[in-house]
Amino acid sequence: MTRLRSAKIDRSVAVVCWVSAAAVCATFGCLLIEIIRAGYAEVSWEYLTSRPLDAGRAGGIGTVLVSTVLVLLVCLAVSIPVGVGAATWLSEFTTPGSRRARFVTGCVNLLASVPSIIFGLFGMVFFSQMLNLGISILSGGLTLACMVLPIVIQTTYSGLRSAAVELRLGAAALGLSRTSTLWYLLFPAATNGVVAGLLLSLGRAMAETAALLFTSGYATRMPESLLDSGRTLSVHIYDLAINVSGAESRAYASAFVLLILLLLVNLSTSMLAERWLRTRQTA
Amino acid sequence: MDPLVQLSESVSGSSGPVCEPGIAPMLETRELSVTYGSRRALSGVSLAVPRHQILAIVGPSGCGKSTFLNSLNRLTDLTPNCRVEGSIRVDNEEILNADCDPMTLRRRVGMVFQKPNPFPLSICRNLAIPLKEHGCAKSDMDSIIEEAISDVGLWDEVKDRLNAPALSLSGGQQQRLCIARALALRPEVMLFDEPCSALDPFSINVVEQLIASLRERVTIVIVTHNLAQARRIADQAAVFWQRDGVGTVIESGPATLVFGAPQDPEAAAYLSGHCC
Repeated sequence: MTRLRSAKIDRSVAVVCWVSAAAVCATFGCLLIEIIRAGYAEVSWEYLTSRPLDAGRAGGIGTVLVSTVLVLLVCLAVSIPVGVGAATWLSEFTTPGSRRARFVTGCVNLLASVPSIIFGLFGMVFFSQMLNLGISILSGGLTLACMVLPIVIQTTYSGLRSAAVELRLGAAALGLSRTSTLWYLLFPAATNGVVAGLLLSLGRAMAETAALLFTSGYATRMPESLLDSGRTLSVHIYDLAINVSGAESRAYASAFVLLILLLLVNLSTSMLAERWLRTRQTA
Repeated sequence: MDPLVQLSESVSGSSGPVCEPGIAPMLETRELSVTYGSRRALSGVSLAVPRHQILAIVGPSGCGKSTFLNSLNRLTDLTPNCRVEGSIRVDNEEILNADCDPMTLRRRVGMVFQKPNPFPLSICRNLAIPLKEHGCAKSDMDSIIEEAISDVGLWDEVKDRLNAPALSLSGGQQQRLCIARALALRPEVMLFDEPCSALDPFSINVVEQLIASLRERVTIVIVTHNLAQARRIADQAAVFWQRDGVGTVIESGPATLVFGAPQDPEAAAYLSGHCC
């Protein structure tokens, strides 16, 4: 009797899990199909290379892509070193659970829970006004860096902590310094974590609109320096969808490009990391 | 009892190690205690190991054997709130002093762990990185690496694939590589923490013979659960035991005496296999 019952429960649990997994795939599938269906037709080489005209109803997204890449580069150039540094401090230079460590971890967690619109306001006041960087790609990138910092710190930290204890003990027992241990052993071991953080950060940064509206702005012209304003792809999509009538298909086309970009970034980053790890193991 | 090595602790009531006049032991601890936070793990351990001898440490789990070993190269420094008191002298130099550099100490006192722990790098780099760290000239590096790998009998097995990942080696080979890695730094003392317990029977034999042969070059302290192994290779032996929750030494001296005619009843029961 009980046996029959537990078999029944097993079956129901299995069905629920299968349905959940299928629902996830279906959601992604619907999203993808809808975006491809509505956006694919508009995408062409010319669309990718020319600047938007008539508020985005005509022309392309060339300048938008350039601004997007520049904002992302500023964001990564700041968030990766600062994030990896902070994670290394947390993992290697302080005792886990100590008051200092708890304080810094608390700050990181708080930072992670701040809504992006608040980062946008902060970026506008601090970077654009106080530091006098204006509404610019630099302000936008720096604001995004603040926003993705907790992701970089958390993933790098877990990567470093996941390095086997035996590795640390082995290195210490051979009299290796902290820097050598980090460089030769812990950072390579944490690579997967860092890459995961990089991808999550990139994804979050590429998709971000609220934090950039007030910091890097809307300008559609080709940026000439980091101090120029420039709209990113997600801001462009937001603008087309909300402010420009008759540009829905253009918004879909931009969304399609954004998705493809995310996919490419994901694939290439993990491939590069894998290859780097392999050469490291045999070098 | 061999005059070179004698262990003393409160249990046996003796008054400290007695060494042959004029000959200092290579490694000597006096009234060594280790405390983790408020918990005392080890208390009153006084042991001495003469140069080029093997001290085997046996005893049930949780009686502070590994803690003792870790204090000898100050790996205990890595554990927060760990306090080591008493005296540890390596070649007559106090290593618990603040001016003793733990990095240099760990070059002099090598260590091999229970689970082989080669770095996830190539075989060659496993030896090259520590050598570089301790200032080995590039020109000497290749010959030292070859010598160390030959010393552990691994050269013929790996000479054609020095750039292969160390993790592609078998368990026994990995452990020998770890021994070679420590040997390359020309240590004076080697600590082995149950070096064979994660290996297959064939590898156990190879590694055990290797350790026994190393005594010509280094002084060895080995923790082992394998009493037969301890009997085979040890010159000196010590039985660790937990008394009132604190690890201490209940029997020690020349291996033949410790294994042949132990004085302490608990040690005698343990060594004869009649106890946990």
